[in-house]
Amino acid sequence: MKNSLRISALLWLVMSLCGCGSYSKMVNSFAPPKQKSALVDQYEARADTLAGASPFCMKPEQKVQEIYMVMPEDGDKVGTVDVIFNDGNAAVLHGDYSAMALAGDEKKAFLGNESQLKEMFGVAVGALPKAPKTSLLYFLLGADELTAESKKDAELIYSDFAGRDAPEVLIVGHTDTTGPSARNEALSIKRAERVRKLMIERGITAANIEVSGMGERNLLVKTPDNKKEPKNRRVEITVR
Amino acid sequence: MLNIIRFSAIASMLFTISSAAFAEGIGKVKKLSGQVSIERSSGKVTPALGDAVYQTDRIVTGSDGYIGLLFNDDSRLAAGSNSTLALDKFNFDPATHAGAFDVSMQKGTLSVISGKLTQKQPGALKVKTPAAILAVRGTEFSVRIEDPAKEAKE
Repeated sequence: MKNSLRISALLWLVMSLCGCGSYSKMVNSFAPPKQKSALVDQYEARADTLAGASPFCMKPEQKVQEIYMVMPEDGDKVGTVDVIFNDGNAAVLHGDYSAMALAGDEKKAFLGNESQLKEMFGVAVGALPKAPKTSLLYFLLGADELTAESKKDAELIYSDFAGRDAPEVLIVGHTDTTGPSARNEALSIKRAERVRKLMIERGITAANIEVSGMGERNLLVKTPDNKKEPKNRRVEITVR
Repeated sequence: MLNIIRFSAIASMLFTISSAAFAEGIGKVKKLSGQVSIERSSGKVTPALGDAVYQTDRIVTGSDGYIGLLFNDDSRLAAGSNSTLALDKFNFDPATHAGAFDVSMQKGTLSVISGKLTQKQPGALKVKTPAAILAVRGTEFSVRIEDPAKEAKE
């Protein structure tokens, strides 16, 4: 009896001296070790769970105020964001779905997933415009006639265009170094105009199309003068 | 000395005014829905698809609104509903791809896909939130900021 009294007095002393933190830690120590992201160690701020697991130590619930999340990248690209907090601490978010939540002074790194991304940021993610796309169309020697293969590629450009809101097209014509450069200037513009005409025939608004010609001044394949080079007889089309 | 300070203050003021007056579009509205407005020095406007946006524009979306923007360096930014996004600074050299892009979020959601600026120089695109500055090294990420006013009401 005397012993149990003594133990409870000791417990009370420990609790009152060390506060609720020790209680939470004690309780948490019964549980299996928490899965921690590697990111947690990259910044100095406390990143453990919100305290207050004990009914005696209830803290007012803190709302999450800010959330950052790296979105999945195409291919082998890896997303990275440096975070510099106003309090001087810093963190690095690196890799698909690596994320951080802020609630008051608490900063918690976590690894999100596809459904979280959708739930937290869905509307904004869905409102991202399509990436601009640049394609090349090639022409027959000395003419503004597309090669057979490029005629097929042109179809792909039309369909890409159709899938965009408020689309714009930039068309830049080029030639190879065959013939006089003044004639090539004219030919490059003629080629660009030809593609413009094809675009308009497909229902693309003329006002959204910008056309220019570079003659033989911007060769894709560097050649000496008067050299036939099919890769240089091209039009660059950027749809954005 | 005082005169020099005064002169440089006036000069910088004039510079700011003139550069705003001849501002070039820094990007275009490519996605748009619901209630969206843009506050700029010339007043408040309601954007339409294809409209240009300018440096120092402040974009505000309502409870049913969203907006998607494509910038001159191919960066893409989109704000969800109940969001406030300011386009603080945009410099982009199309020849060298050098420059800087700073935006700030007061509230709401923002998704970012960085473009040629961060390809050239990682960190060239920065997003300022009430609690932090996020420097984007590349390329895609999202930010969500709870509306403090809304929390106070609850």
